[in-house]
Amino acid sequence: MSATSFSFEPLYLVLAVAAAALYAAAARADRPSRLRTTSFAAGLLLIAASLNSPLETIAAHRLLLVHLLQNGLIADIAPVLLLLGLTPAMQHAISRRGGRSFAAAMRARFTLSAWLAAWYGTHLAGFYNWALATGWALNLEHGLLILGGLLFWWPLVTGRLSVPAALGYLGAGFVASSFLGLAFIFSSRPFYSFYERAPRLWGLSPIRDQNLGGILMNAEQTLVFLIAIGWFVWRLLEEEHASGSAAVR
Amino acid sequence: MLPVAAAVVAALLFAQASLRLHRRGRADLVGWDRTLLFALGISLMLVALLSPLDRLAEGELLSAHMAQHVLIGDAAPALLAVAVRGPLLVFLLPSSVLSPLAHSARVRAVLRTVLRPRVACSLWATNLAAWHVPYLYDLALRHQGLHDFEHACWIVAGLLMWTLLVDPGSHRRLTVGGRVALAAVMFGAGQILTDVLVFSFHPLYPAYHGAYGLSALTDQQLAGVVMMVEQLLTLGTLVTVLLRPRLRPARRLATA
Repeated sequence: MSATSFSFEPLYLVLAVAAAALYAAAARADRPSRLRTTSFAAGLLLIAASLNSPLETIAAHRLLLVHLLQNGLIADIAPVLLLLGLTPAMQHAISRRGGRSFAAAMRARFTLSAWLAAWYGTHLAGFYNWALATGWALNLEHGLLILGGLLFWWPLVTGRLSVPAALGYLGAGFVASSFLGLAFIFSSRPFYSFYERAPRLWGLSPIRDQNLGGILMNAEQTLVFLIAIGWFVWRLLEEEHASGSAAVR
Repeated sequence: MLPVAAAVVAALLFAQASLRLHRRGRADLVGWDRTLLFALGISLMLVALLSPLDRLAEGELLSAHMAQHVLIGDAAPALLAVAVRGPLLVFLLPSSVLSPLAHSARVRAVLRTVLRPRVACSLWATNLAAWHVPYLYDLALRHQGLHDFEHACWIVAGLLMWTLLVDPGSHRRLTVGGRVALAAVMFGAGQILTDVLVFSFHPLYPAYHGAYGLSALTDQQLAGVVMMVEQLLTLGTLVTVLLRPRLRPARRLATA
């Protein structure tokens, strides 16, 4: 299969269309701003396009580097964009429909643990090789990563955490998740037998591919987390400014 | 010899401050914890500059050199600033020395300027960036005088930043949020350097060829990780300590 040919995970095309339809229906009752709509659309596009394009072909058949990039896009960036696209009323409606079990599942300790479990669990060699070898199980891997990402960002985007707690949550997430990228960067033998046997691309050896994949994963996560931390530090300063102004009055 | 002499002077200053406070019946201001932190800060400086770490740093491993720099420019200044916070800071210099300094308009103006958050942060960031330019880095390795000056720059820049972060004199130059923001800026700036070192495809510093089984590139990547881990430990601890009191009311509200 040529590296530039298209591969598909139709499940995620269907899910993206369904999510768009649900969003459009919800938007009739509570009209989101253009920015929110764009954010939601970008999140959907990121998932649908990265799993149904030549990126999928290279990720599923040639290079770990591209697979890790794909995972970063669907697990870290797309979930934030999707959740930022929801209006507060939409978020509230989801919480209400979810009931008590949803509220319990959205506790920060659980969401952080679930995200880390998805992050590390899906990258275990046994699971990763199995998912790549069967093909259909890639759907499961990607689904777990998207779900993990949505869980992780939910308490942050919906304002369930105070600003100091959000900073602690992000710091813990950043530190705890970074070991995977570092393991890829400093590894001296390939972790995944699938990519050892896969036809090479761009002259990258399996180990070089893995090292570069770790670098890319680390860079992407650092960027996402630093932006999020910067945003909450900004809010901390705003809160202090507001309480200072109130005290003067 | 210079680091030992400086450490002895620092220890003597701390001892006389401790003695004076004891004589005034305020031994509570200089408890064993402060003594331990101060001793730890000085020891870190000495270990970084005089132990086998220095030999490794001089021309064998870039990661060892990075460890040396973060110890003298970050960890040790942090410990020292925490150790001398409060009234102890005022007692650190004998009154015969402190009084003329405190009355000198020039000294006060200089301190006021360099301890402005933006000035201190700019000096710190410039120092961080400048000494990691490969040409300057190698030049310092070849000239001992310049290398000593480089180390002095790390220590001064670190003390400036940690004075703002810990606020040992309770000058309130920054709010808690401002201190958290400053820590985030420091981490962000450090992360840029970390990324350059970790994400480079080639070794950047010709003086280092790798050693002890580490290739030059792996050593360089390790140097980046050393910086990130050290910053996470020091700045992460600071941010946790600063934000912890604010987490309690939030928790109480959540459980109410």
